[in-house]
Amino acid sequence: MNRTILILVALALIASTSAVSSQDKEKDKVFRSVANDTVEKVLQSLEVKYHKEERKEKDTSVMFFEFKRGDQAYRLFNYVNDLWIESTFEKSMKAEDINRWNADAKFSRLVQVQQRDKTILSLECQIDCLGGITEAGIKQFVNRFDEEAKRFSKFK
Amino acid sequence: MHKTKFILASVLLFAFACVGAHAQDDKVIRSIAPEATEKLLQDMKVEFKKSSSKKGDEHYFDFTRNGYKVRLTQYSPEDMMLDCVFRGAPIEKVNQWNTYTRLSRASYHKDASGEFCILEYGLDLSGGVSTGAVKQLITRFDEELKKFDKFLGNANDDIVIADVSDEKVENVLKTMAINYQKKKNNAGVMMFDFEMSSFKIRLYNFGGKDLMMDAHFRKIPLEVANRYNLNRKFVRVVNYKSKDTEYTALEANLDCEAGVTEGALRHWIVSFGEDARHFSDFTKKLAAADK
Repeated sequence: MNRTILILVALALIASTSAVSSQDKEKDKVFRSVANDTVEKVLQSLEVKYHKEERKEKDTSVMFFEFKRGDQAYRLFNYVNDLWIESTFEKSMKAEDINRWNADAKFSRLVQVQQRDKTILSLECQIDCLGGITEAGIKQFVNRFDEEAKRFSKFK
Repeated sequence: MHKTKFILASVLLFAFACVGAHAQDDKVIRSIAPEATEKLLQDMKVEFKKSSSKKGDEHYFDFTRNGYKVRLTQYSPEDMMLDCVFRGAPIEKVNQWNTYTRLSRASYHKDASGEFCILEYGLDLSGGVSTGAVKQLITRFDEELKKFDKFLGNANDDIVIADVSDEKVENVLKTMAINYQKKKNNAGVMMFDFEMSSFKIRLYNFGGKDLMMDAHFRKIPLEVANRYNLNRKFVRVVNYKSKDTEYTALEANLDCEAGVTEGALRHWIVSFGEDARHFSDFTKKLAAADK
């Protein structure tokens, strides 16, 4: 009886170890092009509710994902070989102040965008995936930008 | 009926186009002019920098393939060679490669900066080869480079590095045949200075968790900097004022907190060289427009 229990425990242990290692393998899988499913998987792991939509461009189309973290709204574009994340702010800023942010920031840049009827600020960041990226890397990209956006909301 | 004719015509047109493209590649040549080599590289979408020897009899085409700095030397219209420099390869490894490989050969050298070797792959056109074979030479050399790098134990492109130590950065720079100078700044941040695409670049390693590269240029107006940032990916331009000078810096950061692969590191460095060239061209056009 004891022997049977021991074998069962050992089998369960092996099964759980191999499940963990396959999860680790998946986590460390290196992508050079990112599928929309992968982006969704990452967003789901971050427990954010997102809305996805396709934007038609000249000869191609790009999928983007809109979501909120706290009060901050984000848009993440999947250009397959690179990812682009942005958060826009309906205000304008002096060129010197935009430069001040860019001089201080590491993982974002701030640009002023002149739209038809208004001027907005776009805080943005891109990551090139051609050299290889993991799911953990994409997750970090989103989390890091979230930190940048929170920091920017206090920027004066 | 019309639809069938249209489909048939399209299929025929496509077939002719394919045959035309193949016919072009199958054309047998016994020599190639430097201008034709240029055209061939352009057809392959290879961005290169061309230079010639003082006498003008040799022509060099420098380009980057998958992170490797490659030179195509045209010694004469009948003779060309591809090569790439690898730093830190011991002579035993070089000899071992030469006994093991069929297509390329490696030669061992030593200078003040240490050991290095050159992987070479030549093509003699005088007996007659197809233009497709010349293209194949370049494509095949890509494979040889990867194999050789792996053979030297350098190519770990898909292995995730959790902590990008200074040694890891050095290893990547060495395998890219980049000569660098390293020093620490007052804050203890290790900085690597090197040249790429003839631009002076500085790479900072912030404790293995994030990396940054920058290159300095003549100051541009802030509005123009904003316009540039709006249209580019992966970089930003920023204006700085130091004690006695004002300049514009092109910057790129790489977040390594979640780990980064060697392949991604190489790609990031090579891409920044291209970005520096792009921004330099932009500033030149700007200066020309001002005049």
